[in-house]
Amino acid sequence: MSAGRDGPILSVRGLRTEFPTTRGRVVAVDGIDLDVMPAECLGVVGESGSGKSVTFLSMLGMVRLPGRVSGEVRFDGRDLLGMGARELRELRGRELAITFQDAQMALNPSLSIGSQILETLAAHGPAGSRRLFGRDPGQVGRAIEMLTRVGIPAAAERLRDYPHQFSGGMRQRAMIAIALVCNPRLLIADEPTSALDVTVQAQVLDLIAKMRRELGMSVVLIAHDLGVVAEHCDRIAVMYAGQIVELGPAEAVIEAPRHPYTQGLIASAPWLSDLTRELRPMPGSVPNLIDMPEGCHFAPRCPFRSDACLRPVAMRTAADGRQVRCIRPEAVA
Amino acid sequence: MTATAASAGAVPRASGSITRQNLRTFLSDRFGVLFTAIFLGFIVMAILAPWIAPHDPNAGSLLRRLQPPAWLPGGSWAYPLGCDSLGRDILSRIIWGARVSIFIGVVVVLIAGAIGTFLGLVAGFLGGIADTAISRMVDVLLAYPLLIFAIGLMGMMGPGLMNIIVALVCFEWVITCRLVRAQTLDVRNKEYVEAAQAIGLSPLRIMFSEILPNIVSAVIVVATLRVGTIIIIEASLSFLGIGVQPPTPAWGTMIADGRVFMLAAWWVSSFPGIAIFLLVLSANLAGQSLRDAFDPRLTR
Amino acid sequence: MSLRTLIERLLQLVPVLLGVTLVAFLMMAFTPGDPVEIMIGNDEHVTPEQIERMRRDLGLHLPLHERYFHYVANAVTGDFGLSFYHRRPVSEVLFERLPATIELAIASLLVALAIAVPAGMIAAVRRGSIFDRVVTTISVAGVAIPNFFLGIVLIMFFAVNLGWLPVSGQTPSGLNIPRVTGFLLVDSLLWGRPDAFVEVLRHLVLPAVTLGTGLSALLMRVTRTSMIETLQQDYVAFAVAKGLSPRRVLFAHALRNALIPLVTVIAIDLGSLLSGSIITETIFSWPGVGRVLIEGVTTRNYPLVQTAVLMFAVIYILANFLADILYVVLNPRIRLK
Repeated sequence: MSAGRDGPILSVRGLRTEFPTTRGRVVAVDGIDLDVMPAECLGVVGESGSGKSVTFLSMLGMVRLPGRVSGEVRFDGRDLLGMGARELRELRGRELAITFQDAQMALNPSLSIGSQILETLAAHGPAGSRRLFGRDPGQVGRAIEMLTRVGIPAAAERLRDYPHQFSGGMRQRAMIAIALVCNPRLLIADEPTSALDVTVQAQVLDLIAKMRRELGMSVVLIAHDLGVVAEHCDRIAVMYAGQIVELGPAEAVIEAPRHPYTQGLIASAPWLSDLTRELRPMPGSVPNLIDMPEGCHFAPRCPFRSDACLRPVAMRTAADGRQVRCIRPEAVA
Repeated sequence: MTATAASAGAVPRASGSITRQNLRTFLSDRFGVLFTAIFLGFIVMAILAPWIAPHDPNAGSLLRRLQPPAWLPGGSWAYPLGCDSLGRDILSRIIWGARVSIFIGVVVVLIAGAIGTFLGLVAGFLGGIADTAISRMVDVLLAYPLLIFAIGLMGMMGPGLMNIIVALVCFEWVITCRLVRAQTLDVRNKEYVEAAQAIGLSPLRIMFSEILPNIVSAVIVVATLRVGTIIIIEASLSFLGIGVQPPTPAWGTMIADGRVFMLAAWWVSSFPGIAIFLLVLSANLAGQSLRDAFDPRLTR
Repeated sequence: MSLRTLIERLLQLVPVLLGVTLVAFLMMAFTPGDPVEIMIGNDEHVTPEQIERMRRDLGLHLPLHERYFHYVANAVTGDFGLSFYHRRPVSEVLFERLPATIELAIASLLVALAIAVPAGMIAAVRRGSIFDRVVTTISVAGVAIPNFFLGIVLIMFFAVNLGWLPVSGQTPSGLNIPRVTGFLLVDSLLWGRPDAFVEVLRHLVLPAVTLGTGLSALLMRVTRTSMIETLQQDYVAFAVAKGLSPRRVLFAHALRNALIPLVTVIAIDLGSLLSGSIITETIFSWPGVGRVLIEGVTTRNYPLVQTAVLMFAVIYILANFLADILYVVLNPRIRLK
């Protein structure tokens, strides 16, 4: 606990992830600075392809070769990127958990739910319990308790069931239970609702909020939908083409977005825009990540662009503490 | 679309037809081009056998019995790969043997391909009883492993070159038929086929001028990939003594003949063995790169 | 899988089996030459009346469809006629040889899997490495080696030159294992003869390697492709994210799912395994169905050839049926459907 109670649980500086390809170098994550405070919920928003998921997979050392990660990531004061494989493995799942977009894909189709939750416990339990895998009554009890807490009825009987025997919402709950079974201090929920029916989406978000309260953990909620993030998060980071373009308290960012991209996102989101105003879809699309221009990544789509946008744009902090990556003075006013 | 489809010659080409782009992709795959060249080299060698073989493949002399290859003591460059137990030149026999192997491989694939394509088109396009009958036949024949089916037929008909071709065609058409039927079902409901039906073209005309051009690349690719298999089957039959009969030189028979001398004269069996390996390898790799270039959908 | 679907699948086999017997029947019916004359051979003491009686006994005077009906009716009771050469029922001759063929086929399959699965798996995990390239090259080249040539080369090296393994046969001459199951490996253990077991095993090695190599080339490629695909699945990433050990991720999560397609490929390729067994048995003088089939072909023993070919086809059909079931059992996703 070197960082102390008040310091950030996760602190990221200059994180950069690139993939060499035959057509050039893809910079999927381009200099991310980010802090996650204890018990905080941080929302990370952006279109698909903006590098949200890669950012967090990079931190966990889960970027596939030939991807290259550089920068500094500190979790509770410990350097994640410089950590040995074994140490990192012990951290994953126990202190740092992640859930994926689609539980149907993330749960192994040929293993029972029970064994998928018990193997996590066994991997992080005391050395002796690994051999007892699946039969340790304490661990079985813990698995049942966790499944019950995420709202799976008759959990004890369902341990033997396979993922396909669960409904979509139940699978998502089961995945969350598996991720949280070791009481992690940080949960990264990658698009937890995108694969779900609208009716189930709210339930799953409420579940994550409830678990956050009960376990006192921090949550990073990744979404491409501002509406999802608006309601549940303390702060929001908006990502565009591998960079954070705006970061600030959730309410402030949504009510008074400062970056033109955030403004565009909000104008095109049906949930958030004033119903009297017409929806304005944003022109253009996320640029090709190969050989990205030096200047502001959003410039080609930006209604306010000027020649000054062709030079690299740094993140600037306004007087109220909000951060924006834009050169226009009103953005940081 | 309808207007173009009506003039049967100018069918809009779907992905299954051959374009210049495909050719370019194919030529950019150096490895594939190399093995295609080796395969074509074998074909040229087979065609030119009477002119390029240094000796009469069947002229033996006990004076040269089991003479080693040129680079070993006792060998001579007149017989570069040595001689077999009857003193016949192995190189010449390999060159003539290529003729038999490739002739059978190509002829079987062509005849079976033609039969299979026709029946596949009929089954896929007409459907109904024709489809049921043809598909049942295909199912039943597919229940036989090819070599075993061929051995059975050869056992009944007796050995010989023509019988091999008949026996292999009897089974091989199934492979093309199954493919063509599936592809035809795919194409059948495309606009240009429906348009051709709407203006009252005869089924035969639709099958051959509307459907066939769109599936032909798949047929060619699979046929190329099958040549290697057929060549191995022929060699196996000849090796077992129920295929091509002596004195016609065939690689399988050469290997069988040399088997007993393996210790004293390894070259008698080994060179034809290497020849089969190279021919089949180049046929397969040529087929594979054709497939990658012309019909990536077929990639397993 | 419910009993109902199982029975449905079994019933679907009936038309195929009928078709297969029809093909076997027609093969014989259209054979040029008169079976009776072949049976008699050069025996000049046979009278025309005797020939006529033999023809009647064989039912050759009947129209084709009636002959087929009799053929199937007899086949169902296991009567496939007499082997010309052995003067015994064909079914007896073949069933006697079947265990040797099955023993060889299973051993070859094990050899193929023992080579292919680890090699394909490591190639997939170390994708793009030198090992991967070697595996990919071998898997392409391996298919092109005719197994009769490979067999000869193996005998040359390991049996003749090095003398490590026997040249041919299933047992050393003089070793007699009384028949119980017909599977010599099993029988030698049943009689409590570990020495005989080792001998039989030594005889099995070269034929099994010869036959298994071609199959392993294919299985290697399938394992590699399937493993690469599986490693990219979310559930593998999730398993890593849970902090599982690499071994558990690889074996419990990836390999388990990657091997499912292998079952189907093995079943489909069983055809070439059976075909290959005929050649391998011939090279190694292995007393199986394949060798007796080739003997039958060279001695024009028609009923034997017909029945042996049919037997291989039926084995192939049944194996594919079993693979279908196994696939369902291994794959919980479709188990309930």
